[in-house]
Amino acid sequence: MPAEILIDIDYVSKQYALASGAFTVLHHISFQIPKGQLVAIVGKSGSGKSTLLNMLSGIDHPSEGTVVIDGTNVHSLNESRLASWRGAMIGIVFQFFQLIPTLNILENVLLAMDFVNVVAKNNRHERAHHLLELVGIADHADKFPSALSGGEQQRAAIARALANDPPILIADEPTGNLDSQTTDDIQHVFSELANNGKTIIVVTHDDITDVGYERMLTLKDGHLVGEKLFA
Amino acid sequence: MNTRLKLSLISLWLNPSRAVLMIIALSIGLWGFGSNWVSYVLLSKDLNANYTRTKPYHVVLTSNDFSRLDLSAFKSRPDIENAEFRDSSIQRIEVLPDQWLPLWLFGVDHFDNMDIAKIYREQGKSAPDPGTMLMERNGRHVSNLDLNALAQIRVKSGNKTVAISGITFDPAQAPATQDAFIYGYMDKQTYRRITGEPVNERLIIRLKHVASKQEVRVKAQELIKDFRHDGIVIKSMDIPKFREHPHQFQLNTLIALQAIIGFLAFIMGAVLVSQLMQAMLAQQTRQLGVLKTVGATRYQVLGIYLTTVLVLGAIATLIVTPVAVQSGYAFAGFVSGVLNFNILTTELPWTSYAVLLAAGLLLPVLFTFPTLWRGTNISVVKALNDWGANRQLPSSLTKIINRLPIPGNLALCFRNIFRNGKRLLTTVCMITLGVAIFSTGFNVKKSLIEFLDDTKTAMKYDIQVVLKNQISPQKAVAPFQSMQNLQRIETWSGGQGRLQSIVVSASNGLGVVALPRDTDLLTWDVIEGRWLEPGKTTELVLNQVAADALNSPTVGEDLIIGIDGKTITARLVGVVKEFGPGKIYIDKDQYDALVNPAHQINSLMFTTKDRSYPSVLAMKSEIEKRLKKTNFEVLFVMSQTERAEIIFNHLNIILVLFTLLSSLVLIVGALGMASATSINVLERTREIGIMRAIGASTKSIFAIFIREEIIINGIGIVCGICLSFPLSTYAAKYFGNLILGHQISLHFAFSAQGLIITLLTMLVFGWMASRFPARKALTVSTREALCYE
Repeated sequence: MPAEILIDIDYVSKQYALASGAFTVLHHISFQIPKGQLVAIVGKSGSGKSTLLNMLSGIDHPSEGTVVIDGTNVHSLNESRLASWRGAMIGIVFQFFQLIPTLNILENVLLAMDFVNVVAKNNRHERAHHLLELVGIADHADKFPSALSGGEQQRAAIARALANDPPILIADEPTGNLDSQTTDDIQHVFSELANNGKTIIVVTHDDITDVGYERMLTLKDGHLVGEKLFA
Repeated sequence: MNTRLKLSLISLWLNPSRAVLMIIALSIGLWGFGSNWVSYVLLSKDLNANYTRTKPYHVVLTSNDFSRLDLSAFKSRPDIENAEFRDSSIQRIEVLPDQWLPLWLFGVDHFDNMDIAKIYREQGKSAPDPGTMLMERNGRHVSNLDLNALAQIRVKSGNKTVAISGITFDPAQAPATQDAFIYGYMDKQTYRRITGEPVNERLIIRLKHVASKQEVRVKAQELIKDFRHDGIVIKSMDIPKFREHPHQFQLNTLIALQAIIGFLAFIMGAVLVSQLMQAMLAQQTRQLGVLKTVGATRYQVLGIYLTTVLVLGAIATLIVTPVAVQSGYAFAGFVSGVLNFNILTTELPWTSYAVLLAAGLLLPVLFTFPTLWRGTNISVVKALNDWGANRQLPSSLTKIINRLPIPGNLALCFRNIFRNGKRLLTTVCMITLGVAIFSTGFNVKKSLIEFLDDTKTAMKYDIQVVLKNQISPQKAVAPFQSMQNLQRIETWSGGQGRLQSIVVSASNGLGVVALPRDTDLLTWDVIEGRWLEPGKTTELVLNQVAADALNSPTVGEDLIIGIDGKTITARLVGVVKEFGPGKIYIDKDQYDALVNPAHQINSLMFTTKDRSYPSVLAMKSEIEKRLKKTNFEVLFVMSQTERAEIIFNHLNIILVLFTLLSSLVLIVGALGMASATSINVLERTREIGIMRAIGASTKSIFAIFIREEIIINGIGIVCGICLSFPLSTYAAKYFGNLILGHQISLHFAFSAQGLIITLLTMLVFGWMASRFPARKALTVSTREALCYE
């Protein structure tokens, strides 16, 4: 039985108006991602990878085409509904972690639950601790981000991304700022999560062989130029 | 603690200096508003409450025929609430050795059960022993008289010594300190025995079911008709302002000032907080993007920042409310002391606290809401890509600046300044408002001082002696002819003038001044028509108070005036501006021909050769000594300096308050400038890092910020001074009308002193505002500055 399609990108283009004229970042990109797949998006700097992720997460709007996730046309939602939907459906991990520096690690995870309100209030602390255990930094729950290493901060960011148990995890070069050992550890976390049913899309420059990716999409100058499936 | 609430509080903790600045701005604004509000609540209620609880009379009738009146029967009429004979006359009292003031003496029927025009015991007896008197408490401030003192009173028959057996409080009278009057109260028998004046000739009446002066007038005229029917001829009728204290105009001015400036200070404080919140948002833009990325809606983000504002408002309210209540009471106490009334409200109503609370909590939220609403509307992608101040000037503006014949570094300053047009506008507006209002305060003060000077120079005599009765000029002048330093004595005449109506004189008595029309002792500012000129037609000139009292007659109109029982018809030819009671000016020759065939006089105007203050005082003292030896019935002897002081005392409280309140606005404006500088520096921390990375010295970066602030400050000051001109003109018009009435405007005056103080204040604040944040930013290392978000 074919896997259920969770993400459907159809003919998505993105143009920016610059003083020198319109600049097209994405050219009519179309693909589908089934539930539970671990997908890598690769390409050189400026190829449109991050823009494509922004389209997927509803952070940015396409100039043309549609993004349908779990039956919802993402860009038909208004800003407020989009934020709530994103909070519940998608967890985002950034290259520079983007943790709130004034909250400790536990509070960073709790804040995401607090905004979206899908996890019952009584269960939030327990779930936050569980997630921090899952990514291996439970001992650092009370520490502030500045007291953690890059790898630990990225693990905290992953825990936060998982706070509302979203079916999709999007990561924009999550290991771009980490050493090779930590990179392997993070890749391993993603692989584990995919095995547990999460759909994960990762923009990366890293070597993705042997770390559990099922599919690789290659972008070049805003065009989808290659697609590779791994066994 | 809830994570979102914690985030709201941490935003403040992250930058304590900014949080302190916000709290200071709100506190100053709230204090300005709160203390004004509290004193407004007290003053607006209590002066009137003081006055109305005396059960003031509505009308005063005088007659020589009241012996025919059955007072008990009169009081039982359905339209009469109460009535009493309260005789009064003006005598003189020695306030300091050889210094005399008018004594307004009342002969009272029953001290113990007063139920009309009541007075209140302060010290000593509540009812004076026979042969003694009570003195109104405010008299102590203008004399060395006090309880148990022996007062020298000059009456028709000469000087009398009367003991002061009690100090009383009469809230219905104008304060002695301002009007240079002392009020005394005696039982009727003592009054008659000491003054030799008749009794039971002045009836004060309090009417039932009247709601306006007009209704009082109608009822009083009915009473007069009835009296006439009973054979009682009414000599005069006076109707005071209805339910209004004599000095209500001062209070109205103060309250208007308080309301305007207090609220303005608060608005500026709130705008300042809004500006600071904008800075906070600018600094946390990327965090805002992250919050939205993890699922926060715009409303949730808005809620976080609104909570921050609410917390700030709560802190400011907590700090300021007790201070505002205390200063409000203190200010109301000061005003009540000056205007001689008691603060009756011992506990503020809860609604007053509710207003303070609402102002402290809700208004900052209201004022910051637009900023926060706009700020939280930023898209996630824009927020995540924010790296501090990166606005660029429109190319057209860049071209204009580049074409200006100014050095490159100055051009860079201009380009930086215009990068954030909205903030520049807000900052310039705050400085402009602060400077404009502060300067206006000084300009209006100057206008008032010039008005006082005009009043002084309009009256060129040095000492005025006013007699109660009319005597021949030869007799009047004779005792003073041989005085040293005397230049000349001019004699004037006059009396009480009343506009005639169908029944009897219908307005308050207006002083009639009959003077040589070509006198060089008076040069009034004629605001309508002209001054008196020779001709066959009898001419009148009114001052603006008289014009208002006579319902603003038109210049050219013929008026029928009753003077001392005689009626004259005269044409109104002009209106003059004067601070003082209502007066009708008429040429002495015409006056004598119509009502004064014996050419008697009642005023002596002295001019001195040496017009220095000590010489004039010496002359006044000599006049008093010589008057002692005469049998003249003197109403008052007053030097011009004393008169000017009386006028100044009426206006000084307004001037003081105006200066205080406008300083408050200037401080808030200066704080606005400081905050804008601070934001500017914070936003450009990364830029500072880049400048340092490419070799800029600390000194040169510091100079950039200082130059920028000088330019912004300069623009604000110039705009403020420009705005102060129309504002001062309007304020001069407003206060002129409030103080003088009759739509009279004070002349616009520019205060150079005010300008210098304004410039110095703004320059000091500007220097401090630029120096501290810039110094702080420059202590950050280049690496930290480059990483700054």
